[in-house]
Amino acid sequence: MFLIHCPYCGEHREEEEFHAAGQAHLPRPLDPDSMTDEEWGHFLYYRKNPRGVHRELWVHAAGCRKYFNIARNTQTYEIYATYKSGDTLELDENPTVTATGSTLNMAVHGDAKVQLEQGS
Amino acid sequence: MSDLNNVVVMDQVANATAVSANTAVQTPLEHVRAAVNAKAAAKPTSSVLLTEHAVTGLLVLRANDTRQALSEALFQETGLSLPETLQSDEKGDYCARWMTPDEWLLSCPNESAFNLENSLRSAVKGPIAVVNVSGGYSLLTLSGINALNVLKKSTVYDVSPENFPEGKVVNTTLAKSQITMRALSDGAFELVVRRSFADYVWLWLQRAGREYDMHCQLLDS
Repeated sequence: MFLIHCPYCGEHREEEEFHAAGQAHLPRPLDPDSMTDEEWGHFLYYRKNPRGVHRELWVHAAGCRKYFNIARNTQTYEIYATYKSGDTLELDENPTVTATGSTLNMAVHGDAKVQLEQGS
Repeated sequence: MSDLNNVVVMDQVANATAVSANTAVQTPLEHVRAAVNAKAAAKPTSSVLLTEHAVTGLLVLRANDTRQALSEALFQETGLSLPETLQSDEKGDYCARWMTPDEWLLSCPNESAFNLENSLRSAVKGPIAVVNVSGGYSLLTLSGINALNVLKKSTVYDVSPENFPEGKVVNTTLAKSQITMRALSDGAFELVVRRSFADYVWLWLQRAGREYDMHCQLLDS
Protein backbone atom coordinates (compact mmCIF):
# COMPACT_ATOMS: atom_id res chain seq x y z
CA MET A 1 0.00 0.00 0.00
CA PHE A 2 1.18 3.50 -0.74
CA LEU A 3 -0.17 7.02 -0.79
CA ILE A 4 -1.10 8.87 -3.95
CA HIS A 5 -1.65 12.62 -4.09
CA CYS A 6 -5.02 13.56 -5.61
CA PRO A 7 -4.66 16.96 -7.30
CA TYR A 8 -8.38 17.63 -6.90
CA CYS A 9 -8.72 16.69 -3.20
CA GLY A 10 -5.32 18.24 -2.54
CA GLU A 11 -4.06 15.56 -0.20
CA HIS A 12 -2.43 12.16 -0.14
CA ARG A 13 -4.82 9.22 -0.09
CA GLU A 14 -4.49 5.46 0.11
CA GLU A 15 -3.91 3.59 -3.11
CA GLU A 16 -7.09 1.63 -2.33
CA GLU A 17 -9.20 4.66 -3.31
CA PHE A 18 -7.71 4.82 -6.82
CA HIS A 19 -7.91 2.91 -10.07
CA ALA A 20 -5.48 3.02 -12.95
CA ALA A 21 -7.08 3.92 -16.28
CA GLY A 22 -4.33 3.35 -18.82
CA GLN A 23 -1.87 5.48 -20.71
CA ALA A 24 -2.32 9.25 -20.49
CA HIS A 25 -2.12 11.95 -23.17
CA LEU A 26 -3.45 9.90 -26.09
CA PRO A 27 -4.03 12.31 -28.96
CA ARG A 28 -7.41 11.97 -30.62
CA PRO A 29 -7.50 11.61 -34.40
CA LEU A 30 -7.73 15.00 -36.08
CA ASP A 31 -9.32 13.60 -39.22
CA PRO A 32 -11.09 10.38 -38.22
CA ASP A 33 -12.91 9.98 -41.55
CA SER A 34 -9.76 9.43 -43.55
CA MET A 35 -7.96 7.06 -41.21
CA THR A 36 -7.01 3.57 -42.32
CA ASP A 37 -7.96 0.46 -40.33
CA GLU A 38 -4.37 0.12 -39.26
CA GLU A 39 -4.30 3.67 -37.91
CA TRP A 40 -7.54 3.06 -36.03
CA GLY A 41 -6.10 -0.14 -34.64
CA HIS A 42 -3.07 1.69 -33.35
CA PHE A 43 -5.18 4.46 -31.85
CA LEU A 44 -7.56 2.09 -30.08
CA TYR A 45 -5.34 -0.76 -28.97
CA TYR A 46 -1.63 0.03 -29.14
CA ARG A 47 -0.20 1.28 -25.87
CA LYS A 48 3.27 1.89 -24.52
CA ASN A 49 4.59 -0.49 -21.91
CA PRO A 50 7.87 1.13 -20.91
CA ARG A 51 10.33 0.07 -18.26
CA GLY A 52 10.96 3.35 -16.48
CA VAL A 53 9.12 6.66 -16.65
CA HIS A 54 5.50 6.38 -17.78
CA ARG A 55 2.52 8.76 -17.91
CA GLU A 56 -0.74 7.21 -16.79
CA LEU A 57 -4.32 8.25 -16.28
CA TRP A 58 -5.69 7.40 -12.84
CA VAL A 59 -9.10 7.97 -11.28
CA HIS A 60 -9.85 8.75 -7.63
CA ALA A 61 -12.65 6.20 -7.76
CA ALA A 62 -13.72 6.10 -4.11
CA GLY A 63 -12.98 9.78 -3.50
CA CYS A 64 -13.76 12.72 -5.76
CA ARG A 65 -14.18 10.50 -8.86
CA LYS A 66 -11.98 12.75 -11.01
CA TYR A 67 -9.44 11.56 -13.56
CA PHE A 68 -5.91 12.92 -13.33
CA ASN A 69 -2.41 12.20 -14.64
CA ILE A 70 0.47 10.47 -12.94
CA ALA A 71 4.10 10.42 -14.01
CA ARG A 72 5.61 7.36 -12.41
CA ASN A 73 8.37 4.82 -12.76
CA THR A 74 7.10 1.35 -13.68
CA GLN A 75 10.33 -0.20 -12.47
CA THR A 76 10.64 1.35 -9.02
CA TYR A 77 6.94 2.33 -8.49
CA GLU A 78 8.17 5.80 -7.63
CA ILE A 79 5.59 8.52 -8.37
CA TYR A 80 7.23 11.68 -9.70
CA ALA A 81 4.16 13.90 -9.89
CA THR A 82 0.38 13.93 -10.15
CA TYR A 83 -1.33 16.67 -12.13
CA LYS A 84 -4.81 17.57 -13.29
CA SER A 85 -6.04 16.55 -16.69
CA GLY A 86 -5.49 19.46 -19.06
CA ASP A 87 -2.19 20.40 -17.42
CA THR A 88 1.12 19.37 -18.89
CA LEU A 89 4.28 18.21 -17.22
CA GLU A 90 7.71 18.44 -18.80
CA LEU A 91 9.84 15.62 -17.58
CA ASP A 92 13.35 14.42 -18.21
CA GLU A 93 12.61 10.88 -19.36
CA ASN A 94 15.95 9.46 -18.23
CA PRO A 95 16.16 9.81 -14.47
CA THR A 96 19.13 8.68 -12.45
CA VAL A 97 17.62 6.04 -10.20
CA THR A 98 19.21 5.54 -6.80
CA ALA A 99 18.22 3.53 -3.75
CA THR A 100 16.57 6.51 -2.07
CA GLY A 101 14.74 7.84 -5.14
CA SER A 102 15.58 9.18 -8.54
CA THR A 103 16.89 12.48 -9.79
CA LEU A 104 15.25 14.10 -12.77
CA ASN A 105 14.19 17.48 -14.07
CA MET A 106 10.54 18.52 -14.13
CA ALA A 107 8.68 21.64 -15.23
CA VAL A 108 4.97 22.13 -14.85
CA HIS A 109 2.59 24.02 -17.12
CA GLY A 110 -1.03 24.70 -16.27
CA ASP A 111 -3.27 26.62 -13.95
CA ALA A 112 -3.25 24.02 -11.25
CA LYS A 113 -0.43 23.38 -8.88
CA VAL A 114 1.24 20.06 -9.41
CA GLN A 115 2.30 18.04 -6.44
CA LEU A 116 5.88 17.10 -6.94
CA GLU A 117 6.64 13.98 -5.01
CA GLN A 118 10.32 14.83 -4.71
CA GLY A 119 12.69 17.66 -5.43
CA SER A 120 13.67 17.97 -9.06
CA MET B 1 -34.30 25.20 -16.97
CA SER B 2 -37.08 26.72 -14.98
CA ASP B 3 -39.85 25.65 -17.34
CA LEU B 4 -41.24 22.67 -15.50
CA ASN B 5 -44.47 22.54 -17.47
CA ASN B 6 -42.99 20.46 -20.24
CA VAL B 7 -41.29 17.80 -18.15
CA VAL B 8 -42.50 15.00 -15.97
CA VAL B 9 -41.97 15.97 -12.35
CA MET B 10 -41.11 13.27 -9.84
CA ASP B 11 -43.13 14.49 -6.91
CA GLN B 12 -43.63 11.40 -4.79
CA VAL B 13 -42.60 13.37 -1.73
CA ALA B 14 -44.27 16.62 -2.73
CA ASN B 15 -47.08 16.03 -0.30
CA ALA B 16 -44.87 14.58 2.38
CA THR B 17 -47.21 15.25 5.26
CA ALA B 18 -50.01 13.36 3.57
CA VAL B 19 -47.64 10.50 2.77
CA SER B 20 -46.31 10.17 6.29
CA ALA B 21 -49.82 10.28 7.72
CA ASN B 22 -50.71 7.12 5.85
CA THR B 23 -47.52 5.12 5.57
CA ALA B 24 -44.33 5.73 7.51
CA VAL B 25 -41.37 6.62 5.32
CA GLN B 26 -38.83 3.90 5.98
CA THR B 27 -35.07 4.18 6.14
CA PRO B 28 -32.77 1.60 4.54
CA LEU B 29 -32.23 0.02 7.97
CA GLU B 30 -35.88 -0.39 8.95
CA HIS B 31 -35.43 -4.18 8.94
CA VAL B 32 -33.05 -4.06 11.93
CA ARG B 33 -35.49 -2.07 14.09
CA ALA B 34 -36.88 -5.12 15.91
CA ALA B 35 -33.40 -6.39 16.72
CA VAL B 36 -32.28 -2.97 17.98
CA ASN B 37 -35.37 -2.55 20.13
CA ALA B 38 -34.91 -6.02 21.62
CA LYS B 39 -31.52 -5.02 22.98
CA ALA B 40 -30.91 -2.73 25.90
CA ALA B 41 -31.66 0.91 25.19
CA ALA B 42 -28.75 3.27 24.68
CA LYS B 43 -27.28 4.25 28.02
CA PRO B 44 -25.41 7.42 28.87
CA THR B 45 -22.59 5.13 29.95
CA SER B 46 -22.07 3.54 26.54
CA SER B 47 -18.79 4.75 25.13
CA VAL B 48 -19.92 4.58 21.52
CA LEU B 49 -23.34 5.02 19.99
CA LEU B 50 -24.38 4.22 16.42
CA THR B 51 -27.46 6.09 15.22
CA GLU B 52 -29.39 5.86 12.01
CA HIS B 53 -31.30 9.06 11.34
CA ALA B 54 -34.83 9.25 10.03
CA VAL B 55 -35.23 9.74 6.29
CA THR B 56 -33.39 12.93 5.39
CA GLY B 57 -33.77 14.97 2.22
CA LEU B 58 -30.61 14.70 0.14
CA LEU B 59 -29.92 16.73 -2.99
CA VAL B 60 -26.94 16.35 -5.30
CA LEU B 61 -25.96 19.77 -6.63
CA ARG B 62 -23.67 20.11 -9.63
CA ALA B 63 -22.37 23.30 -11.19
CA ASN B 64 -19.23 24.32 -13.00
CA ASP B 65 -19.26 27.79 -14.59
CA THR B 66 -22.57 28.44 -12.82
CA ARG B 67 -21.08 27.79 -9.40
CA GLN B 68 -21.39 31.38 -8.23
CA ALA B 69 -25.05 31.60 -9.24
CA LEU B 70 -25.82 28.30 -7.53
CA SER B 71 -24.01 29.39 -4.40
CA GLU B 72 -26.07 32.59 -4.26
CA ALA B 73 -29.31 30.68 -4.84
CA LEU B 74 -28.37 28.23 -2.09
CA PHE B 75 -27.62 31.11 0.26
CA GLN B 76 -31.01 32.66 -0.48
CA GLU B 77 -32.81 29.41 0.27
CA THR B 78 -30.87 27.94 3.17
CA GLY B 79 -28.25 30.46 4.34
CA LEU B 80 -25.48 28.06 3.30
CA SER B 81 -22.71 28.70 0.83
CA LEU B 82 -21.10 26.05 -1.36
CA PRO B 83 -18.14 24.80 0.67
CA GLU B 84 -14.56 24.65 -0.60
CA THR B 85 -12.48 21.52 -1.08
CA LEU B 86 -13.08 18.88 1.63
CA GLN B 87 -15.22 21.28 3.69
CA SER B 88 -18.85 21.47 4.74
CA ASP B 89 -21.24 24.22 5.72
CA GLU B 90 -23.96 23.51 8.27
CA LYS B 91 -26.82 25.64 9.49
CA GLY B 92 -29.72 24.18 11.44
CA ASP B 93 -31.18 21.21 9.60
CA TYR B 94 -29.27 22.04 6.44
CA CYS B 95 -25.76 20.93 5.55
CA ALA B 96 -23.79 21.19 2.31
CA ARG B 97 -20.84 18.86 1.77
CA TRP B 98 -18.07 19.14 -0.83
CA MET B 99 -17.98 15.95 -2.90
CA THR B 100 -15.82 16.83 -5.90
CA PRO B 101 -14.80 20.16 -7.49
CA ASP B 102 -18.17 20.53 -9.21
CA GLU B 103 -20.49 18.56 -6.92
CA TRP B 104 -22.00 19.04 -3.46
CA LEU B 105 -24.33 16.95 -1.32
CA LEU B 106 -27.00 18.96 0.45
CA SER B 107 -29.04 17.50 3.29
CA CYS B 108 -32.30 19.08 4.42
CA PRO B 109 -35.53 18.08 6.18
CA ASN B 110 -37.30 15.48 4.05
CA GLU B 111 -40.45 17.60 3.78
CA SER B 112 -38.59 20.54 2.26
CA ALA B 113 -36.49 18.58 -0.25
CA PHE B 114 -38.95 18.82 -3.12
CA ASN B 115 -39.55 22.56 -2.79
CA LEU B 116 -35.85 23.27 -2.30
CA GLU B 117 -35.00 21.23 -5.38
CA ASN B 118 -37.42 23.22 -7.52
CA SER B 119 -36.51 26.62 -6.18
CA LEU B 120 -32.78 26.02 -6.67
CA ARG B 121 -33.38 24.80 -10.19
CA SER B 122 -35.50 27.78 -11.14
CA ALA B 123 -33.23 30.31 -9.42
CA VAL B 124 -30.18 29.57 -11.56
CA LYS B 125 -30.01 30.41 -15.24
CA GLY B 126 -27.57 28.11 -16.98
CA PRO B 127 -26.44 24.52 -16.72
CA ILE B 128 -26.72 23.10 -13.23
CA ALA B 129 -27.97 19.76 -11.94
CA VAL B 130 -30.13 19.31 -8.89
CA VAL B 131 -31.03 15.69 -8.22
CA ASN B 132 -33.11 14.45 -5.32
CA VAL B 133 -31.41 11.31 -3.98
CA SER B 134 -33.21 11.21 -0.63
CA GLY B 135 -34.13 7.54 -0.88
CA GLY B 136 -30.69 6.44 -1.99
CA TYR B 137 -28.65 6.84 1.16
CA SER B 138 -28.62 6.04 4.84
CA LEU B 139 -27.41 8.71 7.25
CA LEU B 140 -25.52 7.35 10.26
CA THR B 141 -23.72 9.02 13.12
CA LEU B 142 -21.08 7.43 15.28
CA SER B 143 -20.63 9.26 18.59
CA GLY B 144 -19.00 8.78 21.98
CA ILE B 145 -15.45 8.65 23.23
CA ASN B 146 -14.68 5.43 21.33
CA ALA B 147 -16.24 6.50 18.03
CA LEU B 148 -12.75 7.33 16.77
CA ASN B 149 -11.48 3.87 17.68
CA VAL B 150 -14.34 2.14 15.88
CA LEU B 151 -13.71 4.25 12.79
CA LYS B 152 -9.96 3.66 12.90
CA LYS B 153 -10.58 -0.05 12.50
CA SER B 154 -12.89 0.49 9.57
CA THR B 155 -11.43 3.02 7.18
CA VAL B 156 -8.11 3.63 5.44
CA TYR B 157 -8.41 7.39 5.95
CA ASP B 158 -6.50 9.07 8.76
CA VAL B 159 -9.40 10.16 10.99
CA SER B 160 -7.31 11.57 13.83
CA PRO B 161 -8.49 15.06 14.87
CA GLU B 162 -5.33 16.72 13.52
CA ASN B 163 -6.04 15.42 10.03
CA PHE B 164 -9.83 15.25 10.21
CA PRO B 165 -11.06 18.27 12.19
CA GLU B 166 -14.69 19.20 12.74
CA GLY B 167 -16.47 20.15 9.54
CA LYS B 168 -14.14 18.31 7.17
CA VAL B 169 -15.71 15.95 4.64
CA VAL B 170 -13.99 13.12 2.81
CA ASN B 171 -15.12 10.49 0.38
CA THR B 172 -13.24 7.32 1.12
CA THR B 173 -13.74 3.64 1.82
CA LEU B 174 -15.21 2.09 4.93
CA ALA B 175 -14.51 -1.64 5.00
CA LYS B 176 -15.34 -2.60 1.41
CA SER B 177 -17.90 0.13 0.91
CA GLN B 178 -17.55 3.66 -0.44
CA ILE B 179 -18.58 6.27 2.11
CA THR B 180 -18.87 10.02 2.73
CA MET B 181 -17.54 10.90 6.20
CA ARG B 182 -17.89 14.19 8.02
CA ALA B 183 -16.34 15.07 11.36
CA LEU B 184 -18.85 16.54 13.80
CA SER B 185 -18.33 18.27 17.13
CA ASP B 186 -17.42 16.32 20.27
CA GLY B 187 -15.55 13.64 18.34
CA ALA B 188 -18.62 12.33 16.55
CA PHE B 189 -18.72 11.36 12.88
CA GLU B 190 -21.42 11.40 10.25
CA LEU B 191 -21.45 8.63 7.67
CA VAL B 192 -23.48 8.82 4.47
CA VAL B 193 -23.67 5.39 2.90
CA ARG B 194 -25.47 4.08 -0.14
CA ARG B 195 -28.75 2.34 0.54
CA SER B 196 -27.49 -0.93 -0.92
CA PHE B 197 -24.48 -0.88 1.42
CA ALA B 198 -26.35 0.32 4.52
CA ASP B 199 -26.90 -3.14 5.97
CA TYR B 200 -23.32 -4.19 5.30
CA VAL B 201 -21.91 -1.06 6.97
CA TRP B 202 -24.34 -1.43 9.88
CA LEU B 203 -23.23 -5.01 10.51
CA TRP B 204 -19.56 -4.11 10.09
CA LEU B 205 -19.82 -1.33 12.66
CA GLN B 206 -21.68 -3.64 15.06
CA ARG B 207 -18.76 -6.03 14.93
CA ALA B 208 -16.16 -3.26 15.14
CA GLY B 209 -17.95 -1.70 18.13
CA ARG B 210 -18.48 -4.90 20.09
CA GLU B 211 -15.32 -4.52 22.14
CA TYR B 212 -16.45 -1.03 23.20
CA ASP B 213 -19.95 -2.18 24.16
CA MET B 214 -21.51 -0.15 21.40
CA HIS B 215 -25.18 0.76 21.52
CA CYS B 216 -27.42 1.35 18.52
CA GLN B 217 -30.56 3.31 17.86
CA LEU B 218 -32.84 4.16 14.96
CA LEU B 219 -34.39 7.61 15.11
CA ASP B 220 -38.07 8.05 14.25
CA SER B 221 -39.10 10.68 11.79
